[in-house]
Amino acid sequence: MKVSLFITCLADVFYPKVGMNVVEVLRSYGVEVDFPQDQTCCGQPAFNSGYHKEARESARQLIKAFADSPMVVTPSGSCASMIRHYYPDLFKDEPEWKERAIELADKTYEFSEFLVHVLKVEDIEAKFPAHATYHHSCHMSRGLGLKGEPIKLLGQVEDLEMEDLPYCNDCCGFGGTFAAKMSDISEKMVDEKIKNIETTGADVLIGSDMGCLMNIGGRLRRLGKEVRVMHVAEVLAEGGQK
Amino acid sequence: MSAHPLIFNERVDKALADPILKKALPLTQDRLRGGRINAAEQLGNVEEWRELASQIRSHTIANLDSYLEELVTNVRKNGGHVHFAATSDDAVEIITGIAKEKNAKSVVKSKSMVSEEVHINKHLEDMGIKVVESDLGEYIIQLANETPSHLIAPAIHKTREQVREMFSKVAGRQLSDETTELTAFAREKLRQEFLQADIGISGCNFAVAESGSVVLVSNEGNARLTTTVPKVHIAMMGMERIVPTWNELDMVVSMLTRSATGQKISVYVTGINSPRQSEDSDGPEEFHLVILDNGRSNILGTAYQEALNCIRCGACLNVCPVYRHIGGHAYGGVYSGPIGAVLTPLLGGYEEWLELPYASSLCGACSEACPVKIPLHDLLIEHRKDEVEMGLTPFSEKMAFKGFGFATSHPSVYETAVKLAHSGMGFLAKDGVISKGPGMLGGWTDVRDLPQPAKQSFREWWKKEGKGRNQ
Amino acid sequence: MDLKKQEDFLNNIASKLGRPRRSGVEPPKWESKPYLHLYEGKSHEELIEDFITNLGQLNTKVDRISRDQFAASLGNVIQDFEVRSTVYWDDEALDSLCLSDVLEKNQIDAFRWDPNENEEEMKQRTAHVDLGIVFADLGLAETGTVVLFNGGGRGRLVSLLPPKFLCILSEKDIVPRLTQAVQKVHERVSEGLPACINFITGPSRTGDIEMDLAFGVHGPGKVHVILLKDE
Repeated sequence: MKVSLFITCLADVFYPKVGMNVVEVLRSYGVEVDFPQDQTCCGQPAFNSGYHKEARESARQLIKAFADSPMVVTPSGSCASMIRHYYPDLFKDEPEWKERAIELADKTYEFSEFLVHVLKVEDIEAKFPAHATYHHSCHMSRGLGLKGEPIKLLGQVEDLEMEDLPYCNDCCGFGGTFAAKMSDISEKMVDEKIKNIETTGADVLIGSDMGCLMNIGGRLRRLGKEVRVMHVAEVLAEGGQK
Repeated sequence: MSAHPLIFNERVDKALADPILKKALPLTQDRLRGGRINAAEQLGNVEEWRELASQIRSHTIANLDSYLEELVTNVRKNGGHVHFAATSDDAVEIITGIAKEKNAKSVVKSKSMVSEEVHINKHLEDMGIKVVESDLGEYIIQLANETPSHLIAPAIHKTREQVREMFSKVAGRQLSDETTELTAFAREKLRQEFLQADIGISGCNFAVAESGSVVLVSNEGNARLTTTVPKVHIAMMGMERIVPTWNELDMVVSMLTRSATGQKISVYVTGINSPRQSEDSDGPEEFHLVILDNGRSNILGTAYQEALNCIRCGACLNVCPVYRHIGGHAYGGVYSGPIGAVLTPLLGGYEEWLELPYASSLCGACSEACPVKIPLHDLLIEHRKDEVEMGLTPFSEKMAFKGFGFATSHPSVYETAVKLAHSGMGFLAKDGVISKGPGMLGGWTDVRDLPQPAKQSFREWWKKEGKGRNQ
Repeated sequence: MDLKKQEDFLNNIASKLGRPRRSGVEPPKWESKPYLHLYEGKSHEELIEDFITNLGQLNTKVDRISRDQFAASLGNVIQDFEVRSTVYWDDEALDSLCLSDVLEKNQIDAFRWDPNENEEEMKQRTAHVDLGIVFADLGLAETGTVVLFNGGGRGRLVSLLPPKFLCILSEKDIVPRLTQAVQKVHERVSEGLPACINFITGPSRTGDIEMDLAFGVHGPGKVHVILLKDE
């Protein structure tokens, strides 16, 4: 099986290790991974801020970059949701691009989604002794309807004790530019999220979107809290997957 | 649309600093959203309900002229009076006109958001008429001289201690802070007001076109008192609050109460079909229906049309993480929460309501909860798009996204930017962390640390090491 | 003038919708019936049980009795609710239960909502009695709702002003849910509806003070239902 990795701008720049871990896990299942160098960003920052002309420019580039890929895997529920939900609509007045947008949307998978639904992984052999909880990112759970998938994967990791996160459906306060634009409101949201994480007693917070994790992790660090923040792929890879 | 002395940021700061809100908002939200979720689970197939409710609302709005015509024809046939108010001023003129003609001394009101839109209380009071709100929550905020902070729980920002103080002042004696004693006092006090009132003003949850009826939903029974005891009843209706027949009423009422509080039905659902009939000896002798546009028609035929499907249940407020922290008043308009952030700029214009569409993390909880499937967070993005296209966003932001568009559509430029990110931001970083950033970044680092971009980006790693390792 | 306003108002809607004025539109037949599974396959007996259970959850007791037990049942309500005075509907169904006789035997200061009486006096009296008594037209199993078609001797204030409320209902009039009730209203539209129809579900309640549930803020805070078995 061949897939292309869509690294996302955040992981590319800030969290390359997540990308490496995704590659590692995929390869461990015999998947051939490539990385089209012409990929940039999905355009969501511009789209959500109302700059749809600019978002279309980003989107065209991404569509072109993955034109020859049979499947695209990305370690972000949010970026996958952008492609799947908003790309076709973004080109509603350009039939040719719309068609190409739909084609990309149809072959794009979030990381856990790909493992569970395409690879149908049933035998995670990782071992990761930790006490952890999971943050359901909004765009992944609401946008893509993916809630059980990462939990299913993490549930198979040996010695990983998962706690339910109270108010797990509430946003962490990231929201892209929202975190900077309305930082005072965002602060209250992330603080409530951290309070809820702390009630679980978890040492590790696992998630599927580096945007959320950058927000929660950045706030945790600012507050001097010790909770470690990890992407699902990092847990699987560090746990010595296979 | 509403007189608010503070600008948006100041309103938010005020709300965030309010210890009472901090306690009351999560409590209220948790109760109400929990109720809604339980109700949905009991139904089992809530998505089918939402779908049908949404279809009914969309069909009705798409044929609004026809159904309104049918409604008013029937209201008149039943002996009621109909008034069309294109603007808030028209509505005020109509209602104050009726009050003058009736020589009214006092008016009782049951909860009506439309009446908040036109500030009818103030206009009636200016004429020397006593206006009393009868919904307990509305009565509380009337005594406090405030506005509702939630669609269905208008006084959630008030503590029992504050209520006790205000009620004691009215009572002229010290009341305890027991809910039962406070509500008993309200019952007694408001009952006197009802029995004296010349006019009752209600809202309209739904009008039924086929029979010319106005349907009111309430738990307290004040809507029934308002529409039964005084000799004159005026119902104020937003022009979109209508269903074709009683059969469609079933679905919207079922969704309204389940989504608002989780009740399968409210205590009172009252259909007012006409003024009292010849054999009756209670009920108002006169019935007036005031149908208000006030900017709503400008939403028709636009990308925002679905916003008119709203049935005012407040579910979007109850799940909104932003509302959870800032409450209703920070939004500044009559309608708060996600639906307020969508509607208020449509009814009041961007000049005054520029920031509201940004008061959302776009988490989508609102759209998911909406019983009539309004894509609320998508409509907020639509607003942002319109603001951009109208040139209302800051110059620096425009330039930033212009650059973003260019870089992301030119891979070589993008790659260079990624390559330079680590060293370029190096002067800001200490131990791989940025704690104080300039410009837009400052908003981020005011609250949280930002990692320094990695020394080696993923794409560089791929070129050097990653690529070759396939199989 | 008024008509011109109306035409301007409606024409504006049509123009904003980007099409010519429409008139006489009827709703489509909705294929979806998401409520069916809530009651499909349930026997009438089960619906009656649902009705009782649902009201029970709303602090409302239901006595399911045969007609000959009515006097005893009413006696209990009078005791439970500490009733000394009452107002009741001028309604054949209540008369057939010999309501006024039972009230008299219990030495209750009772009066009938009589459209021929002085209205202001009746209103004041109703505002001061302990209990209002009515006979409902329908009951809704899913919610424990009673439906009252008001009008004439069936005054609306009877179920509204007194602090306690007794509603009598015949078992056979229990239908699954709101769906059937609104259908009945819909069918009556052509012959003309009464001025007011009320759907009442349990006691008046409010959560407006710190979400703390309290009963009886405006309407009756205590409700009792007597359900008459079919005979």
